[in-house]
Amino acid sequence: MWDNPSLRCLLAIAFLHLLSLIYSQETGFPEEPGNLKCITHDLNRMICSWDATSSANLGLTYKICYTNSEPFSPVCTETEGKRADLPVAMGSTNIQITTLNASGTPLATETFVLPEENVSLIPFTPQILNLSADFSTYTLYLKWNDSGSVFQHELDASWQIQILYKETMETVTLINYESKLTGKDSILFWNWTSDIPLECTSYYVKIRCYINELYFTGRKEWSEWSPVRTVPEKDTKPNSAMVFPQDKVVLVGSNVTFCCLYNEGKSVKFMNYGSESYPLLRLSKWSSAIKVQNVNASIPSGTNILCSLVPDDLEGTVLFVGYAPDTPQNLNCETRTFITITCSWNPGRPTALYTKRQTKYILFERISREKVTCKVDELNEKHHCDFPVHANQKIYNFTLGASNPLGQAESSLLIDVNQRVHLETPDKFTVSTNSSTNAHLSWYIPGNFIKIRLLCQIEISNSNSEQQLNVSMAGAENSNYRARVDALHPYGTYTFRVRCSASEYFWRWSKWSEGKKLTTLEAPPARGPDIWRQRSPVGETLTVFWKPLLLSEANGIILSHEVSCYLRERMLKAYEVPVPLNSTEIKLGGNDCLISVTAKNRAGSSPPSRITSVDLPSDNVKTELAIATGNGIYISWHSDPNVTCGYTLKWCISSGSEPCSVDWEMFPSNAIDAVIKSALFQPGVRYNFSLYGCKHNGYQLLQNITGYMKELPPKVAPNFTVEETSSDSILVKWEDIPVEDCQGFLKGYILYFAKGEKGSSKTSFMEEGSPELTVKNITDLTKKSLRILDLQGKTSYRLDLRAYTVGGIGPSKDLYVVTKENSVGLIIAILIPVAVAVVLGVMTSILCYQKREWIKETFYPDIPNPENSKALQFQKNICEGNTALKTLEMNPCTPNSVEVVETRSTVLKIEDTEIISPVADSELPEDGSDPGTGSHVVVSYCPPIIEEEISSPPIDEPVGSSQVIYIDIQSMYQPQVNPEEEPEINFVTTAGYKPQMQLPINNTMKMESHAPTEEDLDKTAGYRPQANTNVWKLDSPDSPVSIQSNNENRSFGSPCSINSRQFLIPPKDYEDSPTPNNTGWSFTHFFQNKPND
Amino acid sequence: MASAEQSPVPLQHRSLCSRVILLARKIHSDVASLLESYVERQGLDRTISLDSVDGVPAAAMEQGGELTVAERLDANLQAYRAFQVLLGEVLEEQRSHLTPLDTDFHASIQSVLLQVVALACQLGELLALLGHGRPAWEAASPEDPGHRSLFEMKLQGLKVLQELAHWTVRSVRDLRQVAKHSQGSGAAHGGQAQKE
Repeated sequence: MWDNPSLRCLLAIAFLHLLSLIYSQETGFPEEPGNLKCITHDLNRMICSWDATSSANLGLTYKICYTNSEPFSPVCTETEGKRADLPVAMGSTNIQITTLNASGTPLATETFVLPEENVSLIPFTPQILNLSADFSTYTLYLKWNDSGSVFQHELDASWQIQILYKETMETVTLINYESKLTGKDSILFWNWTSDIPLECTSYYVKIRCYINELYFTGRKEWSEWSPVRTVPEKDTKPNSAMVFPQDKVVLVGSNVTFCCLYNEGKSVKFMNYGSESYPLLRLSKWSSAIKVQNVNASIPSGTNILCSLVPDDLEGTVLFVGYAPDTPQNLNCETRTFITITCSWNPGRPTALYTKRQTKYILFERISREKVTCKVDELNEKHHCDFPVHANQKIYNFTLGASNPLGQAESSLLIDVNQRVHLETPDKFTVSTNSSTNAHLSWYIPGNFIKIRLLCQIEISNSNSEQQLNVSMAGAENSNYRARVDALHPYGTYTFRVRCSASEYFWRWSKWSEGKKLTTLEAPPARGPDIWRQRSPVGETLTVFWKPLLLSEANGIILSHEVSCYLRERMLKAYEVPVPLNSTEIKLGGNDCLISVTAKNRAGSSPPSRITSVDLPSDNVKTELAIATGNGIYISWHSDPNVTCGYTLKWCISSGSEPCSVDWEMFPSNAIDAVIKSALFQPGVRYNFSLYGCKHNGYQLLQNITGYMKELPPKVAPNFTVEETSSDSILVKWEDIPVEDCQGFLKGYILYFAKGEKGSSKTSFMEEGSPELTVKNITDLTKKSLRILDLQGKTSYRLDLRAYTVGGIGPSKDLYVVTKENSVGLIIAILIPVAVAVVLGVMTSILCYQKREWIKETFYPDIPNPENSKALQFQKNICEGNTALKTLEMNPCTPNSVEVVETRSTVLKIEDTEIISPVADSELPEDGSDPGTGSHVVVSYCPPIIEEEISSPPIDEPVGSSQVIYIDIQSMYQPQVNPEEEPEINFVTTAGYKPQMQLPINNTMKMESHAPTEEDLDKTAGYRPQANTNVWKLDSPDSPVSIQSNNENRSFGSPCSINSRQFLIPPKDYEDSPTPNNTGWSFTHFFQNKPND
Repeated sequence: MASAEQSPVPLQHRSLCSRVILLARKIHSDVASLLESYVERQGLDRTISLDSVDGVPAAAMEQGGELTVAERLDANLQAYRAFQVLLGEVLEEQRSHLTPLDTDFHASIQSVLLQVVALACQLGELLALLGHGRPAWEAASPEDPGHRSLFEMKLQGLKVLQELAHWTVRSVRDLRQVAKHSQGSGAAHGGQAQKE
């Protein structure tokens, strides 16, 4: 039965249950254990603790029996404390705790069933092995043991790391860190970078752990925090004040915190970044900070951070703000010597960092895994690096790394060194020659080029040409290279230089070597000189001319010319003519010979040039004109079949007083024209050419030719004179212009003529553009005179004669000629009007005679009838109908009669302009300002009028006699009285109209001087003369001047008065006005004032 | 006869004193402009407090009235010898750490340095002429610049230049005193130290 395991299990359970029942009956004892708690650190063992009162019973012990699901037999242990170390079992654990007294007697027993869920997994408290700080990078490095060996298998572990700072231990950050426990102890590392320099304040670090065991169903809890580890302190009682960070390098745009540490008893007055002050942040009692955001690139010496302390002290630091290195640009690697490969690059954006903070470059070659550190000359901004060429390596894979405190960058390049050959400049370049046509060149190129061929380019230049010659040659090691240049010209001066490159794979040319000059040796002249000969007029001597050879033909310096005279292959004479002579004279002695000329230099003689001395006779040699082409002279000739050995065109150019120098040009037999060019030809100069034909037995003159290189307008005007003048024609004669002044072939003359007085105008006709200008073109050069017809008599003419060529019109010459008077015309001009006048007179006489009665009746009646008077009709028209003469109109005008007021005074004498017209009393002013004046006369103005004066006869004349005086309007303005002689009359009796022209300017003055009578005069004055400018006041009505003006101004002396009767006859109102307030003239004012008056 | 033999000595004094004064003035002028460019390049303010910087000979004279001619000249000589060393340090620090590319600025410092060397030589010559003999070069023991921060280097340089400017003023004054004294002592041997 006991062998049955199931039965045994059931029995055990029953037994335990029974036990529990027994013990449970005993509850209520104070020693009874309770509140069992179990935790495990390693999932292997757990620590269980319980509560039990033991105050009265010292020496209590506890017996713990526990049973896992297997084995069934309980395991018991005894402990004095209230905790026990038990194994962790899967599922649940039965735990029986019995409290024993000192004698071992059980006092109380409690049984617990502890399921796994009630067990807490709390890892061991982690321990920080090490905490270190890198102050330069503000970094804390933490090291701890994960105690992985505690667990038997892999587990996920989480770690919490807490960073605290300041004395108050404020949390800076709490970071989770995950790791895996591998069943054995591992050291874990972690680092953290602070925003604030670590020197600024104390930092504290602690960690705790959490085991995430998936198969453990109990509670999993964080371990206890590890003991706090402190970063070595710098802010506690520093030895001296300091600012951190010291000499730090940061990126542009960074946010940087600076702290100032100071001694006890001091305080920070201010902290500046550069020149700007920033608010202080207190970190501790010995530390304050500022935070600067988005910093800009600093100057090379860095940006200063100042910390001013109280009492007076100053600390500081320097911050360098810049950029990480840019990727090296345009990386180029090439070899110059096959010993090193030189890589160069452009650093890109400047970093703003210098000295030890500047960018460092390392050139790394991946294939050979070799690296070199590059030296950078920042002062000269040269960035290049040399890498050694390896013997058996063709391909190089370079990586150029750039780094500075703020970062790094790199650039790569793969090259075949054979394809990147950039040779050094050829050195020790020499040029030599030992012949007249070739040269030997030698140069040196440093480097080992055994494995490649070189291509060198030789530049050969002289004064007028440049050519390049490519030479391929095998490479050598640090060797001289040689080349030979052929086909040079004798006695030629050449400049040579050379450059080289790799032949097979062209990469770049080297720089040109320095240039070397070389002159080849001389050689005999290449050909004989061009020769000509000229026989003297007598024929005794022959002058032989030759032209100097060109440099390219002379092959050296021509020392002399040898002139020989041969007769039938026998040399008669020979002359050695030294340079620079280019002609010689040979005495023929009556014999013709064959002339031979050779040029000689140091190397030898030229082939001879030969010419015969024979001149063939010529008949009828004509002179033709050549055509100017502007830069040469075009000459043509007729082909002569007898000319077998060509034509020679000879000319002579004279310059100044020297004899003319003979020049010539030869042409083949088939030539018929040529353009002769010479540097000596000048525009406007006539040249004479002689064309010779070379025949088998000698030279024959064929033709003379005259021509210009360029025709110009004549230099002078033709001399011309007037030979004869008549009343309608002029005969002009002129002379030829000298040939040297023609400057071209004369084509004609142009005669301009037009009316013009001498001295009236000095401009030319062309400039004047006179409409009467007449132009005559005289193209017949044989004509030397011209008669100009159809001119006007007794008129001055200006003549202008000019000559012209193809090159233009020459200057002008003027003549002034006055044609003679035309007497017939004058007579006719007198006679015709006289005749007409006579005829008209006769006819008028006849007519008058026939109509004499009517004329008499009309113009001279015995009794004149005023109605028929033309004069009166005229006056009537003026008064009645002509509205344009309103000023003269009187209203009523018809009573242009003279009414004589009875007076005892003497008869008023009517004089020209003083028309005295008595007016009825009713027309006088009402106030009758001077009614008592018996002799006053009111004059009505309506000129011109015919007044009939019927007055009492003067004392000395019979009473009743009357007189009618006719006055025409003209006579009204005739001064009748001399104002100087009769001033009194003007003031007293000369009332009425006064012509403006007659009124004396000083009238006003005079009137003022006669103040007592002034008013009276005004009243009787009527029209005021306009000429009295003193009263023409233009002041405004309100102006003080106007107000204070004299009464005399009340007379309206307006210029407009001529058209207005009202002005001429001032109204009474004005005369009465005591204070005239407007003397200026104004229509509006006039009418406005009238009612007031 | 005796006076004829002795007369060149005071003449030499005066001539040398004049040269020293001229040179001191020239240094003063150059240092003034150098200071302008120095503060500009270092980002400093001329009004900055330099009390914390030590190791630079101060021109302030505490017992000026009691110094003998020899003591005056000796003090000057020692100061310029110190400045010779200090300016060398300043130049090297600028080249190596602060303004590596500013060669014109370095040339300015170098120029002042050479003038200071010349001034020290002339002062030594003057001392020898006065019969005091050239004092031995007291090997200056400058601070190891390697331990200085860049900020300290900047302040040090500024202090050196400022004090050098002050010293040139003092030197002109001192040399005038010396010249006056040598004039006063006439043709007598000026070699003996005289209390002023």
